[in-house]
Amino acid sequence: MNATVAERKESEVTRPVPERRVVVPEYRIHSDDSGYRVLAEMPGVDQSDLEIQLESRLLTITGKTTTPFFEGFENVYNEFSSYDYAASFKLAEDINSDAIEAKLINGMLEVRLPKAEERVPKNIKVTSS
Amino acid sequence: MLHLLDELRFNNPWRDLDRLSSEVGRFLPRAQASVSPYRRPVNIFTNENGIKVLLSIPGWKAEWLNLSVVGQKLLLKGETVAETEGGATEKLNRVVNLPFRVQDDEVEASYKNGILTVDMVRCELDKPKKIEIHAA
Repeated sequence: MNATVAERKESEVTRPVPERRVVVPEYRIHSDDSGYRVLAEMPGVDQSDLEIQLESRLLTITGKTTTPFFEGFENVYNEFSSYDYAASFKLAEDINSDAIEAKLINGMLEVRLPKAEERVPKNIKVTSS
Repeated sequence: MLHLLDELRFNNPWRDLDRLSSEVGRFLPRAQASVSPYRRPVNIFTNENGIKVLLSIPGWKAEWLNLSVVGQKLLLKGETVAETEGGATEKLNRVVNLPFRVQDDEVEASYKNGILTVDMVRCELDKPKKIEIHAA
């Protein structure tokens, strides 16, 4: 290849398409005797753009948004950006993976992680013959 | 292997340890509300005929929000209702100064996916009127 950088045409230089910024959403976790509750703020995420996957006790949450665009309007002031969200949690052994529930309401994702039913220890009666 | 911790709050120092155990998000930045001191951030879009104010406020209900226009200001107020009796609530109190007066009977607001959008139309009296200049 004899072409040098100087000879390369402008059209051959590809500019990377700016990727959407992916961030971890603000979240908090509550727990009680029945299990855990993960609350994650994901403003702008529609239910159709939310994915929750569980694999090998790794819970992965991803949500996509679209940048708001208003025809004929100029964006004059910004305090927040449109992000895509991603987070993952390694679940503790005492969580019942089959009973995980999730709901997304007004940009707030709530994931309920119930604890597996503990085996109740049985008292063994000792009888003497 | 780390497990979920009890009663974590937003600025929880253990959060960084959670990150070590995650596959996705290991090197990802945290979502930041904004560089401003306000917890609930706004974005503003304008043209010569109107203005749209977007407020990022996920997890609320529309009935908790109290919006009003006073003069050239948009007041965004509200308070959440605690889940449990005596539980924590969040209050909203923001004032957005508008670049022009708006028709207060033509304000439309919608709350979807945690984003409040307030649509306002510029007041007719506040629109620039061209002045004809007659040659002497």
